[in-house]
Amino acid sequence: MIDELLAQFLIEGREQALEAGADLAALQRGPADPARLDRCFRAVHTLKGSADLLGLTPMGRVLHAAEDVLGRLRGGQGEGGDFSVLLEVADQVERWLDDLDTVGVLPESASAASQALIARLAGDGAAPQVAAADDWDGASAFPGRAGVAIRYRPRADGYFAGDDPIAIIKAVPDLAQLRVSLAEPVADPALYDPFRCTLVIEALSTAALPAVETALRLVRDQVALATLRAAEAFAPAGVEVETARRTLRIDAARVDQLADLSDQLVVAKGGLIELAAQAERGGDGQALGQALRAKQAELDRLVAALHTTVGQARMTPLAPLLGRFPRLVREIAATLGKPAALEIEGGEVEVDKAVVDGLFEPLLHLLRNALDHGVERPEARTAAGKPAQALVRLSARTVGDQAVIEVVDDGAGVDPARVRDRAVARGLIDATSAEAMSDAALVDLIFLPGFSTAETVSSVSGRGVGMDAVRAAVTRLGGRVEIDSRPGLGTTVRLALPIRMVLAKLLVVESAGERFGLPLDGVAEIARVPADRIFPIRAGRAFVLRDEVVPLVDLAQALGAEAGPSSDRVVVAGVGGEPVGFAVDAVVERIDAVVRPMAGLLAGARGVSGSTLTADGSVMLVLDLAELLA
Amino acid sequence: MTKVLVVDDSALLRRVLSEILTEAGFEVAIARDGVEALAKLDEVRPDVVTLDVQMPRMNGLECLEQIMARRPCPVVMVSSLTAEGAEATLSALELGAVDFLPKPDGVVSLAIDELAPVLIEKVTAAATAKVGRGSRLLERLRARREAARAPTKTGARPRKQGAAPAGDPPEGLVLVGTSTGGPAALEALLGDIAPDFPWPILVAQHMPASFTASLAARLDGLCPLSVVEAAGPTPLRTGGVYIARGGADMVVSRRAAGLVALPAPADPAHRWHPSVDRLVASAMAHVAPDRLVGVLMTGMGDDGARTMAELHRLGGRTVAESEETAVVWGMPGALVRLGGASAVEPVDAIAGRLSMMLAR
Amino acid sequence: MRIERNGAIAALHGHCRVEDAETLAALLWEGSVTTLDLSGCDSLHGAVVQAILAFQPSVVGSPGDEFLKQHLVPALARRATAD
Repeated sequence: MIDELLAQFLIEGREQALEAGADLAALQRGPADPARLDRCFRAVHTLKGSADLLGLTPMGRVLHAAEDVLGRLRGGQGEGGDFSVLLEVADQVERWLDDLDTVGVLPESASAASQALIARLAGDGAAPQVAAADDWDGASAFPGRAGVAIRYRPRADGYFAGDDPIAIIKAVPDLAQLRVSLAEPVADPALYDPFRCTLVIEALSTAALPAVETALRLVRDQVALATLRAAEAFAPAGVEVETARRTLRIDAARVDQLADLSDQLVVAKGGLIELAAQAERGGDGQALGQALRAKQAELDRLVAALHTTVGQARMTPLAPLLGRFPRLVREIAATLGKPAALEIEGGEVEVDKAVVDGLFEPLLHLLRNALDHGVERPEARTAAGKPAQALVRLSARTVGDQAVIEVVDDGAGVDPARVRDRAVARGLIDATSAEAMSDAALVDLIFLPGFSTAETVSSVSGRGVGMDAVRAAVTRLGGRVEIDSRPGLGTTVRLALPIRMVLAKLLVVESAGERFGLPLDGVAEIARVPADRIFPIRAGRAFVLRDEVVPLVDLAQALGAEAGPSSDRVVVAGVGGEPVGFAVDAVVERIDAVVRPMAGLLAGARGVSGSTLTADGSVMLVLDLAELLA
Repeated sequence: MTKVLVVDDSALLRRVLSEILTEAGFEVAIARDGVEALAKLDEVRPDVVTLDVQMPRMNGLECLEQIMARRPCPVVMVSSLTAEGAEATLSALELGAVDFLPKPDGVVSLAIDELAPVLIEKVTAAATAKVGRGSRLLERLRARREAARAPTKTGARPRKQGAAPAGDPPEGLVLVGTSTGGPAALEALLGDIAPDFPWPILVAQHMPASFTASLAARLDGLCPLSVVEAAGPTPLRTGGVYIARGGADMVVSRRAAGLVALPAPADPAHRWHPSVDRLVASAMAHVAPDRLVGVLMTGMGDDGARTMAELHRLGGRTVAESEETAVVWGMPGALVRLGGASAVEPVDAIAGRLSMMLAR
Repeated sequence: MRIERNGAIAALHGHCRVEDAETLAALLWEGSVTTLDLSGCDSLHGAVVQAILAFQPSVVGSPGDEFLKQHLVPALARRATAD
């Protein structure tokens, strides 16, 4: 049950952390807003409850402190209210949620980070009072000894919490020395409080540091450790885990629909049992056949409805994804020393879960690029007559069956000349063809593998991750990337992604002995074009369709195969707004199919947007005709 | 089958609570906030409602008021252990909630293991609790609270507020134990207590740690004696009421300064804290039985019954709250069944009875 | 915890738990006990150790428990004589 609860918390908690972060950011910027403060308080409150329930103590403690601060602000006892530390708490909680998501536990540093934030929330910049001793020097406590020196100053209310500091220190392996003393003299023996802990314990262990840390892990915040002489660095290896969110939040009404459908399926299945019994009794074959046919029709209807509903259930709003970026942009902007504001629009746009899952990395990369390479330094901006604070907009909207996501910055734009020089220098294109290219085509070169416009490798964008990675990731999702740069004014990167990855309508065609799926929504018509109506035009061929000259492409050739035997079947599809005819060997059928983005070797294959399983279980490639011709 | 309506805005907590209750054989319905809870009230017709204090749209207190007005039924508040949570919970108890449950805290497996029996026990007890009892008593209490508060606002109220009790070392002690329904019962008892009451009163009210300071402050506002939480070793004085710190036990000891009460780490041998049994036993170790009076008021379970019956047997006096006014007649009922009650009184007659007992 | 009094010497026996700290503190505050014999102790809770440090009686005895014998009792004895 705990794993399930944690999984649920990662969804619910992230939403609450994002909500709290957004509200706090707004509160810090804007005027007092009691409704916002209320909502923020509740989000923090619920988060705290969940963190406590899941035993995430450092998170629970800092949220508890934050809740107290918010409670006071809400009660009007706050002096205007400084939300910056609270905002840091929200950011910290988000980072912890990321950690929980990837490695399943809070990092070692959580306890210390939590305490530091609690101290700052309490309003004193001073170090947390526990401080087993900032001025404690293990070496002088145990002069001439080797091992791990321990100073343990238990919490004053430790006895009430059930701690026995003596039992805890006894559990440390290989104890070599032990000292016990009181932190303060007894003021009034007549009112001596035997249950307020004032013990100070110093000890020396000859065990390795990790073993000592393990023994003291429950009171780590009350302990100072020092490795004497035989110092051995102990650094946990960095953990890098590919994040794959495998959970999905579904609108309750959709779940109800699914439950309803599954009930109906159970009923329909029950009907089959009765029919099977009839067949066993040797009933009237024809009547039985009719009854089966009726059942089949019913099952067809239900399965189709189930498919549709599941498809809808996979639709999820972009808001949680987009909401992860404000914190990250704040961090990146701070690292770069470039003040920047992030505007987000279109969180309500719904797309397939798989698309949402695959978008985090590419979008993060685009935002990093915008801040690192697009946005100028504040001085340069001021000199250019722009506000020192840059504006980056991350927006989403629905256009037909696509979701269009844009990352727009108001930076310097991409300089085509520099791109050209770089591309030539890297040997990505030759100088002659570069001269002939339009500015837009030059800017497009940054999508080539191995291209990077950054003069220096920065810690933010890192080395070796280029726009080609973004294009690859987006293509894997069945989408496309475009860049649009206005020198001096800014850069727009536009991602066009399929909204649905479920049950695309496909036209199945045969070409070069293979079957391919063409997205039916791109197909304008299927025409019979006898060979005598085809004429050569420049390097290619064309035919006339209702008084319009339509270029004709042999699909097999476009796919890099040999042209097949002549056929008069032509599929006319809109490519970039213009009709193009694709000659195919045969048009087989129309199907509804589940299209999956390509993975593995074929992931980068040109003109292939995905694959689907056919009724006989084989894999059929689904083509992106526009990309095929590009 | 007992029907429980679980109202909580945290999906996580809704799930934990409903799984525990379903497994224990309750019929569970859920609502995500106060508005939904009220909408479901007539349809679900719950026997018990568990109600989160902090919720969007309509908070727990507003929702509780509406429930009490529309379809009164036993309500168990689910409260967080913050100062604000304590205030809200005590307000909820004033408004007629029968009990409350601290939100789980700590390692999840433990938290759930610990939560389950408490939740089941509280909901089971709540299902049989008297909700109606309140109305008259509650109205009286409300009136008294208003009266107690009104002068404070005009600043005309003299005396003690916030001051530590400073009377003489006492001749004896009154030990009060209570649990479910206790805060309202304590208001009734301490609101009626005589200003010249001769013995200190020590109160063990089952509660979590963060609640008792708020409870003491509220009670101090309507009691003619000084009500304080015993946060450390506290010398006991005439004119003082000492509330045991929640989540721990309170013990009586003898020091140079005379009798003191001090909080002690909760003894796991006792189920509920502050433990009434432990308070009474520690007092009996330092004070003669005829110098002690035990009072056991509303609450589920039987904490305090055994030691108070023993006190009675040794010549001490004891008062049990009568069944007619107890929200849950568990603890006082157990004392009565053990034959350990010198007197059985409705809650609003206990103060008078104590004065009579101690009159010379 | 069981306490055996012999004049100014009090011998502690068994497991000395958190709740015993108040008993011990009251005993040591009263002043007639100046020496604690810990030979019979099986364990000492931190609160009990703290009470011993607060009232500073002399500490004697060699308990059976290894940790007490090796570390804790010597630490308490050292402390008592050092001051």
